[in-house]
Amino acid sequence: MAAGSRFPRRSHGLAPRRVSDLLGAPKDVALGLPCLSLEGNLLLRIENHEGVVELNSQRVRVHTPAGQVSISGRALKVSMISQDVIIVEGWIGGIEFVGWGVS
Amino acid sequence: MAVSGLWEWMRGYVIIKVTGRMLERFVNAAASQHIDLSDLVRVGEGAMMARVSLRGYLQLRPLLSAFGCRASVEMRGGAPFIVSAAWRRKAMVVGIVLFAVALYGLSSVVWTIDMTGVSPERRARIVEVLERLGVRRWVRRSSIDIDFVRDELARSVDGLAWAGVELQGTTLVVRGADMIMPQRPVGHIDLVASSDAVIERLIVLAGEARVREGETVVSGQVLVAGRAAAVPGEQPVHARAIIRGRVWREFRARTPLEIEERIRTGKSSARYLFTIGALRFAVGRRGAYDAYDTEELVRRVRIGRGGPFDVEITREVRHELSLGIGSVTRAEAFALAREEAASAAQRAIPSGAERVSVLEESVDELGDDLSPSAVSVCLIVETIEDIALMRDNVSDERGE
Repeated sequence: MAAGSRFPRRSHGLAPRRVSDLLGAPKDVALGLPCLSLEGNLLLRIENHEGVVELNSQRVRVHTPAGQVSISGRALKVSMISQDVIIVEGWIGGIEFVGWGVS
Repeated sequence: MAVSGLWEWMRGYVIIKVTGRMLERFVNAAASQHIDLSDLVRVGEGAMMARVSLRGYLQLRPLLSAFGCRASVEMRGGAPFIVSAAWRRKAMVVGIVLFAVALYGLSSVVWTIDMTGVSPERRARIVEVLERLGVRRWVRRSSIDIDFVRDELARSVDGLAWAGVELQGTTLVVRGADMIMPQRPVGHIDLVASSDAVIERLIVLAGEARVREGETVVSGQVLVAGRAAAVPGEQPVHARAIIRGRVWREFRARTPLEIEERIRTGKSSARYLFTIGALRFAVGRRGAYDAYDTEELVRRVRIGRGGPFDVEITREVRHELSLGIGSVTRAEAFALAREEAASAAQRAIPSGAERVSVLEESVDELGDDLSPSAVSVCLIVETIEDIALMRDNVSDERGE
């Protein structure tokens, strides 16, 4: 995984993170971050997404509240998309976080 | 995943090809309206394949026109389409329903009643009790109270020590065991000698001693006599005693110095004998060997339950033998003969006997040319053992 932006915006600042740490709340809930889970390099599940930006067999870009997640690879397909969850299957070669804040 | 896939199959789905310029926006709009798309694959510029439920497909129409896309159905799948296709063939639907009903109906009744472990004279009584309880062929399995039937059989059938009832599919299995009653003596009991012996010890517990310690007795001789009932209604006296005697037994074995050797050459032939009722025929050829030994493997196959005949298949294998004369040394022959005599002694002497001494004698037999031809071994085993044997005097009952 690589940070996509050289000068990221501080969309999720230190203060909210500290508050969520203090309260013991999950960060994806407290900060509105997407939740990503991988099964090897075959399946990526993204919860709390905001839609597909690009879809083809080499690249799938998904918009999230924190920025874009760009998945590159071979034979990629969106095996399921609903309002909350999107599942990308195929041979995943890389995942890039585009426009995410790094604090 | 498997459950959701099954649910999707049951609800029905279509695989559609969507063409247009704003496919991603169309997908997002569908997702936001709770129309779940799956297996989205780009199939070229401005075209995409996707799978959607039947209900979802109908809801997609306004979105397609809103984003300037067109959709065509490439494939239909799932239960609704199969049912719809089957519904057009009424006879097949009727057949399936009839088949299901027949299968359910026939598997819900008792087809056969099997009995195991029950003597033939009690079978009729068991059938009678089952009939009285309403348990017969073609009754519904659910109407049979297994525990009640079992208890009723154990109570109603005389001479049945135990009864078990079990439903195995469409077969009702009744298992039972007959009571084995101990044999009661008819007259009074005498104790007689089981073999020729010298009485070593005699302690009479009941009855009248007819011999003394140190006396020589022969097999069958009365050692302690019981007493018949003097008047009708009185109990007879059965002889009871501890009687130990010194017994000598002789075991002989002979081993020739030249023995016939029968070695299999490796050649063999097999044939099969089929016995079906009274019909019997063979398949295969017998090997025409001068000397051979034969192995037989019999297998019986029952055709149907209680069928009119069984099929018996016998595999007969003939192994060719090469015969020759082999010789053994005197020591080997002696060892073989001794082994044979010892094993015969082991079999013959009762397990509770105390071995006192073993006397061993060997004799070299000579042939016609006065050369050694065989070795004989004689073992004389002396034991002290219980020699009392009970004998029932049936004559008491006959009033002789």
